[in-house]
Amino acid sequence: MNAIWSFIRTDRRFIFLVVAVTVIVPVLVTIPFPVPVSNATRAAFNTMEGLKPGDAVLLSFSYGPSSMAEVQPQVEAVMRHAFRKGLRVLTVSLFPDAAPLGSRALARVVDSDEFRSESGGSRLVEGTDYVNFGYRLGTDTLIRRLGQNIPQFIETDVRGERLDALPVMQGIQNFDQIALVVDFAAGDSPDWWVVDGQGRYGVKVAVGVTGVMVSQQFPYLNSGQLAGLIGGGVGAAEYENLINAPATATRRVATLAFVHLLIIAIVIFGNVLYFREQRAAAEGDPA
Amino acid sequence: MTQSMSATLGIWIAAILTLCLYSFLYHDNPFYKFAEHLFVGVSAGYLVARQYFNAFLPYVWEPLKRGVGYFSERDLRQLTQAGETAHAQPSELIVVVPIILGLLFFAQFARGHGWLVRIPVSFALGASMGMGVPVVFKEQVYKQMNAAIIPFDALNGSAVAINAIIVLVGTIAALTYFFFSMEHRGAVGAVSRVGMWFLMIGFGSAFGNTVMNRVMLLIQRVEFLLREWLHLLPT
Repeated sequence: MNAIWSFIRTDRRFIFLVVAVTVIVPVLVTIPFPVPVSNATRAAFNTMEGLKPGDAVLLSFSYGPSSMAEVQPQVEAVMRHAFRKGLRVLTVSLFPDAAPLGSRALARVVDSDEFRSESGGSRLVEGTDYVNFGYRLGTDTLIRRLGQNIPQFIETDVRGERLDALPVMQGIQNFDQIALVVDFAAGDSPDWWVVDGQGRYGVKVAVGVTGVMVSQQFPYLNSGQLAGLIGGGVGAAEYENLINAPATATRRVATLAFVHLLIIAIVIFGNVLYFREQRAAAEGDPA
Repeated sequence: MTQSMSATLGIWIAAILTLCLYSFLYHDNPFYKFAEHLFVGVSAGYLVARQYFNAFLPYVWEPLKRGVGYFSERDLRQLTQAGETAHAQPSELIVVVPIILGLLFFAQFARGHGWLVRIPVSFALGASMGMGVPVVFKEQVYKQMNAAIIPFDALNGSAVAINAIIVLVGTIAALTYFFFSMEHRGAVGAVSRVGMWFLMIGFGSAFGNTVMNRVMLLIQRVEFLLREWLHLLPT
């Protein structure tokens, strides 16, 4: 045992190797893992479920490649749910690096088998069922401008089509006609949406955030300022299971569980050896 | 499914750069340095290009053009298609004010004129305080205070009431921990220690979530390498 501990202590790359193996094996051999649903994710699902066909939902992308592992599956799951319910989907990117990721998620969901028409193409039509505003400058100022007048400020979608000519935008002037905003975030944007979107204009807001941010968002959920909270990759897996479409996140959660077990084992192992060393030192026996 | 040449090339570049970055786990090396510098350069270039197309052109260049009545052939075509006529709109020249304010930020680099930077900084601070303070206090202070108190209406042994008690005790104890006007002894010290425990649990939760986040990133990159690059997983 002491020999193993000495080896690990002198070369911590051994831990990296074990973690790598613990990740690779479950990825190669798919192992089903139960995903219990949290109240926070269920609240987001129930809010979306409560909307009527034709209602408009605005998906705000405020994340980047460094957080896409967790947030991208959330986006795809929520988008799929929205299209299934026949909602009008509006998307906007608050950060420049979020725009291509949002577009990619939109393309993956729109072109997926679930929404394929008999002719082979997607039955979801850009401009009729959904619209992508692309990246828009302004962060919190943008939210305030959208709250005043969306078509006047945005003018055209990402393809250059005028918003006032698009069927999907008919009747949508500002947040009064938006039934729900879902912000997918890896930074400060949930605060902006809570303060400016929900607080100033009264639009209902739910968020999907990285695991690191979950703890910061719970006060907003408890106070009712957020209508739902999807937390990290686990939240994405929960949402996938709620809409009965297990995909990327559900697979990743199984792998994640194995890595967590490994980390717990390493922490226990390290502590046991540490206390053994302490005791040995106290007894005057150098370990 | 066959991939285009550019897609295949992109996957190979992404895979090699991923391996270059993870090679740091072995030890620092030139491959890691190369990937790191490339990432910084590409990110900066991407952001500059995005800001040029999404900020400079629509909010600086186009309003100036409309203000002085300068229209390119493409502009005229688009106006004709939209059924509008081309004429100067002097009101658009108001954009000169924010342009000057923006340019004044660079005054700090001019010897002897550095004080000019105070003008845009003062404007930005004043505007954001004026617009933000009332609503931020309402949304992030008053509503949170309300949420910490109101659930006590439901003190009937339910889970909501238990949660409300934990939130209230945690809030008071954590605030006491940061209350330095009294010595942390006796009752104050005991409450402060409870506050420290709440803070430690909060930090532990945040750290656990951070570990989960980082592991998710690793899983995603491993999936990319095994699926897109090595084709060991079904697409």
